[in-house]
Parts: sequence; structure tokens; C-alpha cells
Amino acid sequence: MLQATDLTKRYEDGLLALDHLNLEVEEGEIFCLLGANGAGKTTAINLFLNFIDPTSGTPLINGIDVTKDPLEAKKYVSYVSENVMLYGNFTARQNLDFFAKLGGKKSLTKEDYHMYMRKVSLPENSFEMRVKNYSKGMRQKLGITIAIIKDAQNILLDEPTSGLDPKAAAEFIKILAGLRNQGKAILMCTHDIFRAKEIADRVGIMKEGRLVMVRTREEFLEDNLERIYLEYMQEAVA
Amino acid sequence: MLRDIIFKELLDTISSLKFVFTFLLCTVLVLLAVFTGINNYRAELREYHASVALNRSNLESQPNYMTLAGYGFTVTKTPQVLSTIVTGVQNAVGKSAKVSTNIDPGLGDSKYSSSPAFAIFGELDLTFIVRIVLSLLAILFTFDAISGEKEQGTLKLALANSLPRDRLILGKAIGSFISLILPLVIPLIIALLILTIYPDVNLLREDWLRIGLIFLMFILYISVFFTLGLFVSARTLRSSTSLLVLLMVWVTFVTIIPKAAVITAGVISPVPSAQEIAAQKDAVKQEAYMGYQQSLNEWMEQNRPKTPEEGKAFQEKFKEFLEQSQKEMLAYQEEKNATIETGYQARKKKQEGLAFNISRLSPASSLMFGAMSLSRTGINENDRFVQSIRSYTSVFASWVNVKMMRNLKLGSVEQVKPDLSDMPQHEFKPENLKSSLVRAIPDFTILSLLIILFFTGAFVSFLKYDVR
Amino acid sequence: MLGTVIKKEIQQNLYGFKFQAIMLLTLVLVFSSVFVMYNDYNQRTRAYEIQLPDIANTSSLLKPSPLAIFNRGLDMQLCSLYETHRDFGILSISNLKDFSSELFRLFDTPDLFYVTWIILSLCAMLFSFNLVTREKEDGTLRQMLASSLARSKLLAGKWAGGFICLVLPFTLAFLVSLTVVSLAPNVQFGFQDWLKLALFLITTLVYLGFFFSLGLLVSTASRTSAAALSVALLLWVTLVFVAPGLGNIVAGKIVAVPSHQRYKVQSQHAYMDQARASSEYERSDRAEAFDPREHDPEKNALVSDYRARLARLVSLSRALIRLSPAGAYAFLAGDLSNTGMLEMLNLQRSLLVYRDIYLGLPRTRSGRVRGDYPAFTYQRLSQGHVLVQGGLLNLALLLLQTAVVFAVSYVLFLRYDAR
Repeated sequence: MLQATDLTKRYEDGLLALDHLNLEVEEGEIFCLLGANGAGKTTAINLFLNFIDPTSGTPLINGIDVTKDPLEAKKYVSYVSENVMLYGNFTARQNLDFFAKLGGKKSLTKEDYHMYMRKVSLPENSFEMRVKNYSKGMRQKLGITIAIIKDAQNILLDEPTSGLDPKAAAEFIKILAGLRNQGKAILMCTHDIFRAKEIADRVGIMKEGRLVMVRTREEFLEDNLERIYLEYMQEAVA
Repeated sequence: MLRDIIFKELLDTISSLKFVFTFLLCTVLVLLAVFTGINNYRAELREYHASVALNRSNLESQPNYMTLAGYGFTVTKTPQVLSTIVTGVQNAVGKSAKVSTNIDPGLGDSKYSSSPAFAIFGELDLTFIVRIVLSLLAILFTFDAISGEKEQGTLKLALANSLPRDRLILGKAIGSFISLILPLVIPLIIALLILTIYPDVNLLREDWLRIGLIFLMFILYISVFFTLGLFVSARTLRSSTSLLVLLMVWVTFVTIIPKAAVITAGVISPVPSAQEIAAQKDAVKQEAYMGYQQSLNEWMEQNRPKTPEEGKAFQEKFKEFLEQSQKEMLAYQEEKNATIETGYQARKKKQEGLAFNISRLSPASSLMFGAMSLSRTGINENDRFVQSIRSYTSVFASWVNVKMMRNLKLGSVEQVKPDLSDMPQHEFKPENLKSSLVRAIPDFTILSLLIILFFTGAFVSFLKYDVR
Repeated sequence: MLGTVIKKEIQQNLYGFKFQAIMLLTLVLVFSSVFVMYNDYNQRTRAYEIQLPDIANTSSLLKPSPLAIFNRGLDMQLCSLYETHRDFGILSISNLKDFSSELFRLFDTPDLFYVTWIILSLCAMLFSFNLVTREKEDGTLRQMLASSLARSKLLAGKWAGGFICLVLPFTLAFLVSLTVVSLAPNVQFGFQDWLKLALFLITTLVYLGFFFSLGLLVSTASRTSAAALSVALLLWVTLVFVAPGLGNIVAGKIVAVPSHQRYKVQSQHAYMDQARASSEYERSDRAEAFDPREHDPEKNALVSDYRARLARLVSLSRALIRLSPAGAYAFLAGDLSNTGMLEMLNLQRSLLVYRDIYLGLPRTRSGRVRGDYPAFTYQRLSQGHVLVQGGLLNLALLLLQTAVVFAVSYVLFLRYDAR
């Protein structure tokens, strides 16, 4: 379970990136965080991963305070970044091997890695190919594979479908749904309203560092999510 | 986990283009430098033997003790076998010295005076390769160690795991260090093997120890730039910034500080020019001569013979007085000149010491000095040789004077051919290992301190590095 | 369009950290090197003035060249005392070496030439190695090529914009320090000197142009900035440090020069023989004067053979070293400042010629010269001479190499994958 209690981040130059965020992502749930660029979505993720320290408030992973015991907390979370670059000179499998070991899975074999890659529908001939020759879609899939291998209970994703063609994006979302059904708590930051509508159990809209609205699946399916989103965005512009 | 990171780092570097290039370049340059060093050494050995033989025949062809004393002969320094690795100053300062009763000993016959091209372009020895090329390669390997992974996005991916930052930086440092050292150490070992193959190159046990110490110094030097690269990389967010800063630092260390040190020392502690010293000695000569003339006139006034009977006695006394005065004049000159000389040498030493110490701000200078101390091709060995020539010259001078006096008594100066069987020989013991090592300790210390300083900086900086 | 590209390049550079860092470095190095070498020139001139009154007019003691402030080269050797012995035409070099020169030889002379030769050439490559790869990685290359801008214009614009930014700080610093130095009390630049300095500036710009173009070539041949950097650094190290050294080594292998020691000892013997012959002559009862030319040590077989071989070695070295741009530049810059090998060879030749004239003068029976004799005079080479005796060739080589490198980068860029 992911929990943010009054999480606030104010930078030295005075910029209030996150303003008292209160958020809970349960097990077996996908929570999509929507918002304009600079609204604070990535800041929230960075706070959960201990890449920066909060000004006040607490990020919790499975009840563990990330600021107090980051190493313990990070055992229970996986991360897929916006642009998964990885080590270009390495093959896909070599990349998976390295990050699997960092994630605590030390004794996987070549076949195991191949199996994981098949699960995410990566083509067979790409398993031993150098990642620098991968397309963006393939790299994103590799990123989620790393998360799958780690098998942590919580997953953080930052714009995972940006730049993907519809087919690749659809495949990715399918994988996420599968993970949710396994009972993972998933927090996904995205612009992609279409995919959010498809997959989210709950949706939150962030504006200028504040979480201004949260709707459940039933609620936003009834209403028009695009309209709501744009309304809030226009307010931001105005 | 540490092991995984080390392996990853190793694998990542070895599969990159820059590793292959580095390996190739290092092998070519190291082998080239060693071959050149060996060839130069063998050529010098041949020249040395030729000059010894020529000198012998020169000695034997001297007609009498006077010409032997006057023209003297040449003593050549034995070539140093470790000059195959470290050229040092010997090409600049010359290898042979003239020994005679009327010449102030100093080394002459420098390579640069006969081949000025080398003066412009310098020597391509192994120390040069390490000092210039390998340090640059170390920078190439580490300038994007941290900033590159951040730009790539793999840094935050790694830290999203239960991985302590200190383990990550340690693993990266060890992994990339191994991958940097490999292309350097392998050609060095091959170079050593080549050294052992050549027949003229005789390496004693002590020489091997020295080589080991010199190679250790090489590795320390490269490590300075390696840790510096890590440090700068851990303080900048962009690899291009890191690279630029590192290259500026490299230029400063390798070219600017050594020069600036010499200039600064010259300003802080100036030394009169050789012309000024010569002028001073000339003035002393004039002074002595005038004093001599004056005392002669005075004596003449006092002791002028008044009667013819006193005439003969006068001649005798006059001869005695002349001898005495001349001795006194020479003694006076020698004493004054010695004072001038020691004063001059002392100031030279002071300036030299100051220049060296300021220069040690740069690891490149520490490398040069340390390597020259260990290979016995530095200024210190030079000075010891000149000193030995000086002491030998006085031994030789007294021997030849005694011989001349003896023949004078017999009254037949011109015809006697010198008997060289009991002529004192010049002996020079090169510096022993312990002394060389003691002199190289400050340089080892400086390099080690820099490594510790830069690595600590890198370590601490990385703990707070912004990985986003 | 070309103008737009150039302007963009210049602006991009001006705001960049790289340009500011390199500009700062250039200014600091140019000013400090000129300052230091000016002091060195002063010191050497003072020493020259102290020595001058005591020198026989058959000897050579050159006044330090003011151009040595910018490129000292072999000026110390040139300004050494070369004596032609008054009676017998013995050519000897008595060189009261100044102490600091020993230390300097360990670390080279910090003159302006060194700054441009080593440091600015590196800066030139750093400026250009990612000109193309960076834009490709940023994505702006695609953007530019999506317009109706010809690739050739783009490349030319990038070259021009970058090169201007590189050389402007240097040129300004050089001109300023040149002006300051020329106003100093004991420095007189004649018209010839100004011409030489102008040529020196032009040569330096061509040299920097070569490395700048080489960096551009590397950029057009690489897909990433990282690869371009590795290659650029390795090329720089090879061309600037290794190639000139190699030339010396190869020449040394081809032309065997007998041992220098042998030569010195043989030469000494020859002089001693001559001295002996002349004292014998004096004791004998011949009517005519002793003719030193008959026992001339310089005509001794071993001595003249050695000199000939050394000359061959030097010219072969020069031919090989000039093939590398660093070598060609070193020679050309050195010759233009009258402190190069050409000047050295010229001085030696003049000394030998004067010696021959001197030996041929009418002498008394004991060998002394009868009556008046001409003094030794020497004029440093004019730039016309320098250019004709290999200077133009060096310059042409540099220009040719630059042109070739640029042409290759042009061809590569036309086919460069901008995606």
C-alpha cells in the first residue's frame, strides 16, 4: 500500500511543488494521477522514492516511512521511469539481469529472463539484442519487465505510455491490468486520459501542487472525464 | 550487490568503443616508448664505451705531465639502465665532464646542443606517455561516470531499489578502475618482458625493485586523475560540463602549474646569472692582482739593495718573496672564489628547491620527480656526479702536481712521458635504493593524498547527488 | 540562410559554458605567457649587455630577438657565445648556461607558441567535436534539415560560427598583448618584425582551423557525442605529441650519425695537432707565414663527415615532422620568429663562412693576422627568406591538410543520418 500524508515539497527558490498531498493507493488498485506539466506528479513519485526529501509530511510504503528507512521501504516498490533508457551496450537480458540482482532476485537463469520477456510480448529475436537498438515501445516493455521480475507489492509509473503507438500502449495497459489483478498497488502518473479511463480504478487530478479532485471509476465513467479535466485545466490557465 | 555493480561496470566499459581505442592506443604508445628507450640506451652505451676507449688513447698520447694537467681528460657518466623508462634530465644537462687543473668542472655535451629538434619536441619516453596520454585517458573513462548514468536514467532506476548509495559509488569506482587499469597494465607487463629480452639491458635485483616502485607511481598517478574524474562527475549534472572542467584541470596540472612554479620561484628567490658570477670572480682576480702588485712595490721599496754585496742576497730573497706572494694571491683568489661559488650554489639550490616544491602542487610534477629519483636520472644524481668530479679533480690535481714537482727536481720536464699506472681513477657510486626511495617519499605521499582527497570528495558528493 | 545559421551558432556559443570557459582560459594563458616571456627577454637582454663589451669582434653574440617573447624556440642557443679564436680560427662554443634553463627543459617553455600549439589546439577540438552529434542528439538537426536549408550551407555555417567564436578571444588577446609589448621601453619592432608577427597570427589561425575542422570531421563520422569525444581526444594526443616525436625517431633510424663523443674527441685531437704543427713551424726556419688552412681541423675527414651526416639527419627529421600539422606549425612559427631550426642552421653556416674568410687572411710568420680584419656580423632571416626556404611549404601543407579534412567532413555530412 502506498500512502502520502500531508506530503509537501517547497524548493529553496520558494516554488511550492507539492501542497499537502493526501493519497492512498490500496492493494489491487490502479490510481492514475492526471495533471498538467509541472503540476507535481513527478515530485510525488520522487518523494516516494527518496530522491528528494519532503518539506513536511510523510510518504509511506507498506507502512514504512520512506524518509526514515528508505532502504527497507524500497524493497517493496518497483519503478518504471518516463524514458526507460537502460544500458545501451548491454543486451536486454543483461539489463534485466543487473536490475533483477539489485532488486534481490539473484538466481534467475537465462530461460527465466526469456520467459519474462515473452510474457510482455517482446519478440524472441530481441532477447539478446543490444538495447540501444530497441524502439521506445520495446524499452518501455523492458522497464515493466524489470518491475515484474522484482515482484514488489507496489509499483510507481511515470508517464509509461507517452510516445507509444496505440498497439504498444494497449499491450502495456493489459500487462498493468494483470499486475493489478495479482493484488499490486499501482500509482501511475499520466497525461493519457484515454488509457486512464480504460484502466484506472481511481483518478486524481493535480493542479499546481494540489490534489484538487479524486473520482472513482463509477463516478468518472458516468460523467465525462475529458470535460472535467479540461475544466480544471482551464482554471489553471485562467 | 557490490559484486553485481562491479561486474556491471566492468562489462559496460569493456563492451564500449572507448575501451577498445584505449587499449590499442596504450599498447602502441607504451611499446613504442619502451623500444625508443631501449634503443637510446643501447646507443648511449655504445657511445660510452667509445668515449672511454678514446679517452684512454688520449691519455696515453699525452707527451708530458704538463699537458696532461692542462688539457686534462674527459670522464663520461655511465648510462643509467632505467633511462629506458624515464629519460630524466640527462639529455638536457649532458653526460661528460672535463677534468683538468684549470677548468671548473661542469657537465657538457648535452644531446640538445647537438640535436636541437629534441629540444623543441621533447622526449617520447614512457613517463611522458603516462604523464600526458594516460592521464587524459583516465579522464575519458570517468568524466561521465555519475553524470552520464544520470542523463541515461539508469541511476534513478538503480536507486529505486534497496541499494545504499555508498555501495553504488564504491562498486562503480572499483569496476571502472579495473577496466581502466587493464589496458595500461598489460602493455606495461609486455614492456617489461621486452626489457628482459634485450642482451645489453642488464637489470639487477635492485633495478627490478626500482621498476616496481616506478610502476606503482604510474598507477598512483593515473588513479589521481581517475578519482578526480569521479569527483567532478559527481558534482555536475551534465557530462559535457564535467568534461570541460576536467580538461581545464588537466591542462592546469600538466602544463600550467609546472611552468608557473619555475617562474614563481625565480621571482621569489632570484639567482644571479652566470655572467654576473663570472664578473664577480673577475673582480676578485683584479683585486688580488692589484694587492699583489702593491705588496710587491712596498717590498721593493723596503728591501732595495743598497750595495752590490746585498745584490745576490736580494735576488734570493726576491725569489722567495715572489713565490710566497704568488701563493698568497692564489690562495686569496681561491678562497674568495670558493665563497662566491658556494653562495651561488646555495642560492641555486634554494631556488631549485622552491620551484620543485611549488611545482608539486601538480601531480604531474610529483610523478616526474618521483620517477626521476627512483630511476636515478634526475638533477640530484647529476649534482652528485658533478660533486664527485670536483673531489676527483682535486685528487687528480695533487697527483699530477706531485709528479710535475718530482720531474722538475730531475730537471727534465719536457721529455718524461706520464706513467699512468698509479693515476687515481675516478669512481662514482650511483645512489642506493634507500636514498632514492627516501627522496621519492614526498611524491608518493602527495599522490596518495590527492587520491584520498578526490575519492572522499566523490563519495560525499554522490551521497547528496540529485538523481532525478 | 547561411547568415542565420552563423548567427545562431555564435549566439549558442556565447551563452554556453564551454565558450566562456575556453575564452577565460585563452585570455589568462595569452596574457600570462606574454608577460612571463617578456621578463625572460628583459633578463636575457641585460645579460647580453653585460657580456657585449668583453667580446672579441670575431665572435658571435646575438642580441635576443624580441619576437622570442612570443616564441622562444632556440633563441637561447642562438644567443650563446660562439667564438672564433683570434689566431687560429678555432670554432668553439662557450656557453655560460643560465641555470633556470635546466628546469625549464624539464617542462618546456611557457611561451605563447606553446599555448597555441598544445592548449588551444585541444580547445579547438573540444569546440567542434560535438558540433553535429550534439544537434542530432538534441533533435535540432532534424529540425533544421526539415527546412529548405542545404546541408552544405548548414555545415559551412556551423564551421564559420564556431570558428569565429574560437579565434576571436585569442586574436583580441594577442593583438592587445602585442600592442602593450611593442610600447615597452626596450622592445623595438621593425617593419619586418610586424610582418612576421602578422604571418605568425595567420599561421596560428590556420593551425587552429585544422584542429577545428578535424573535430568537425570526427563529429560527422560519429553517431554519438561520446564516441566523437573519445576519437577526438585520441587524435589530438597522437597528432600533437606522438607524431612529431615519431619523426625524430624514424629519421634517427634512417640516417646513422656516428657517436657525438667520437666527434668531439676527434675534433679536439685535430685542434691539438694544428696547435702542435704551428709551434713546430714557429721553431723552424721557414720564411712564409703558417697557413692554418693546411692543417684545418674542420677539413678533417671525420669532422666534416659528422657535420654532413648531422645535416642530413636534421633535414630528414624536418621533412618527416612537418607532415604532421603540429610539426609544420612548430617549424613555421619558429622560423617566422627567427628562433627556429632554420635560423640555427643559418647562423652555423655564417659562422663557418666567416671562419673560412678569416683563415684566408694574410698572416705574419707566427700566424697572427696582419693588419685589419672584418668583424663578424649576422642578420636574422627576413620573412621572405623564411617563406622561400620551406616556410611556404609548411603553410601550404597546413592549408592543404585543413582543406582535405574539411572536404571529408563535407562529404560525410551530406550522407549523415540525422534521425
